[in-house]
Order: sequence, then structure tokens, then C-alpha cells
Amino acid sequence: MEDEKEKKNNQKNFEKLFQEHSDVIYRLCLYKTSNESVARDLTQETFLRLWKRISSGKGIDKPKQYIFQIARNLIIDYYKSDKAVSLDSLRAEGFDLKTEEISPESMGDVALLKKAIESLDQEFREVIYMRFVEEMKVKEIAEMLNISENLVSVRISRGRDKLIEKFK
Amino acid sequence: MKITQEQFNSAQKTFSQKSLSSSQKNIMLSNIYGGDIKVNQKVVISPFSSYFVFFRQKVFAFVIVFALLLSTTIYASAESLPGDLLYGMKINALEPIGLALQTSIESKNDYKISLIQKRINELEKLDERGDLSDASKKQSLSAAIKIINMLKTSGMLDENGGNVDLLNKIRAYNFLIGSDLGIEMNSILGNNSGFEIEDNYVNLLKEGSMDTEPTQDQEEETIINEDNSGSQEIIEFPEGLPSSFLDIENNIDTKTNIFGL
Repeated sequence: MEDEKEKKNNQKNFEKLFQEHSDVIYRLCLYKTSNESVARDLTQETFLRLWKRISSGKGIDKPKQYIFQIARNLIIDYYKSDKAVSLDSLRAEGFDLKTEEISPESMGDVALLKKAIESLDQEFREVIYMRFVEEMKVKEIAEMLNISENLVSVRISRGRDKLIEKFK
Repeated sequence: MKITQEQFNSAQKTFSQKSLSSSQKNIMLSNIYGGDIKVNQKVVISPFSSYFVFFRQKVFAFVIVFALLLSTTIYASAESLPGDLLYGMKINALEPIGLALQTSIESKNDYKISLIQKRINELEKLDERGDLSDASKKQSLSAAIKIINMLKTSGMLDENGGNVDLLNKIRAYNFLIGSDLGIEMNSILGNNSGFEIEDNYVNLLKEGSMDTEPTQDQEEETIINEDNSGSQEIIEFPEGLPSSFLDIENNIDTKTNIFGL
């Protein structure tokens, strides 16, 4: 009886986290992979791992940070895996890769955001994405990236300045 | 080409509205819980499986050890002699099993006769070792009588009520075990004669004793054949006779070599 009750409780907690964060994780995966199908798979895998953790009775102190970290790891794994095809191998297979730059008008939203944010230095990218794309608060970002709120504020400020400079 | 702030803001607005549909979320949850069931099954099976493997390994080790012990005991028992600890196992377990494995009546009878030969060989071995004690003789005799009793009901005897091979073996056995013990010949022959064989045997023994040129004292020791009508027959051999029964057999010139089986 207690096991059943605990399982139901775990399921309730999990579904709450799923409803709160699944869209954020999906957008992060979509932003990183530019592929909706892959983004869905990675999101599902992220929450599957979360559910395994919760259902095994292991507690999670910072669920948001944990979920975000799983998603980031999965994205890294995705690019490390064979699914990530190098440009050279595509050329070798006969694909005609356009080298000329695509205009912002013809770019998709994801590609445009990515182009803008990825032009920043590494340390600003995630902070800017979280702040200006996901509109997260400084505290949330600090929790997710496991850094201090001050550092987040500084990075947001500098990153925004750099981004504005690029818009000019 | 540069990206403007307006373009960025517009893309951000559109992108931030991207989300999973409720059906996509439901499918995801279903897949997640479906995956969970598999995980739970593994959790349930795994401990049992490892326990089972552990248990199976123990059983396997136990079976190996038991088989080794059993085979060693069987081997030791098969090689045991009267008076040995495992002789009872040989007589009461191994040989009945061997007999049960014989399929035809003929093969069963052959096996029983071979057991008599075994009793002879055992006595010979004990005699060679100088361990032929009264206790071992009694144990051997008990085993031999058991076989004889089986043979009596097996239709082994020929038309004359005898069986040359069997009788020769019994005589050899009686010779080895000594005059005070021995198997009653008449218990085998019953009231039937078979005495033709007996008489020939005695006569040939006499001839054998003549070949060895016995002294006067030796001549006084005769082959006693009491009660021709069917009481116990005990054969005594004069001193100076060939020590091996094989020599006697040669002198008897019978076709059966009792040790040649």
C-alpha cells in the first residue's frame, strides 16, 4: 500500500516538473540541434532519465538544474554520436553545400537566434539565451548554471552590450 | 549580412512560443512510463536472476563434489575385499545393480557365475596378502551363498542337474575357503546326480595326486566324498598337490578353465 502511495506521489511530482519544464527543454534542444524530431527525442530522453531518478526513490535537490544538466549532456552526446555528420563527409557524399551566406529574412527563427547568439563568446551564450530567449530570471539562471547571481548579472550585461554592438 | 535587433526580437518572440503540443506531451509521458515498466521489470528480475545464478552455481559445485565422492566410493567399493568396510556396499548395492542391468536371462546367469569367479579372485587376493581371516571368509561365504541361492532358482542346471562351469567354480571356491567352510555341493545338485562329474573330478584329482608322487603320509589324506546320497561334500586336497587350482584343472583336463573367464 505504501509503495503504491509513494509511486503515485513520485508520478505526481514528475508530471508537475514535466509540465513546467518540458517546453523549455524542448526549445533548448531545438535551438541547439535545429531539428524538431531530434529535439523531441532529446526532450523525452531527458525526462525519462528524470523519471528513472525519481521513481528509484532518489531525491533531487534542484530539479531545474538537474533537468537542464541532463539535456545539455544529451545534446553533447548527440553531437558526439554518429548522427552528427561532418561537412566534409556530406561533401564527399555529393551534397552541394551552399557556402554563401543566407539572408536573415530567409532564415528560420532558430537559425537567426542561433547565428546572433553563437557569435558571442562562449561564456555569454547560455546566459544570453536563457535571459533573452527563455526570459529566465537571474536567480533561475544562476541555479541552472550553478554559478553566482552576480556572475550571471555581469555576463548578461556584457553579453547584451556585445549583442547590441553586433546589431549595429 | 547583419541581424538587426528587431529581427532578433521578432525571432525571439516566435521561438519562445514554440512548445510541445498536448498530444506530443502525452505520447512522451506514455513512452516514459512504458520505459519505466521495462526498468521495473529489470529491477524485479535482476536480483532473482543473480540469486538463481548464484544458487545454480552452488548446486552445480555440490553435484560435482557429490559425483566425485560417489565415483570414488564406487571405485573403492568395487575393489574392496571381504573384511573391508565397503565390501557390504559392493555385495548389496553394486552387484545387484550390475545384475539388474543385464537384460536377458542368459546374461543374468553369466553375470551370476562371474560373481562366483569374483569371490574366488577375492579369496585369492586375500590369500596372497595373508589376510584370509575367519571373518573375511565368513563374509565371502555369505556373499557366495547369496549368489548360489539366486542360481538355484535360475534354471542354470543342465539336464543332469549340474553345470560344469558352475560346479568347477564352486569347487575352486571351496578349495580356497578351506575345509571347515564351503558351499554345500548337494545344495546345488539336489537329489539329482551330477555325480558323474563329481566322480570324474575325484578320480582326476587322484590322478593329479599321483603325478606329484605323494608320500605315504600324503596318501593317508584322501579326498573325502561323504554321503553319496546328497549330504555335504567337502573336498580335501592332499599336501603336495599343486598349490594353484589351475594346475589341478590342467591335470583334470577338463575343457573349462575356471580362471579363464
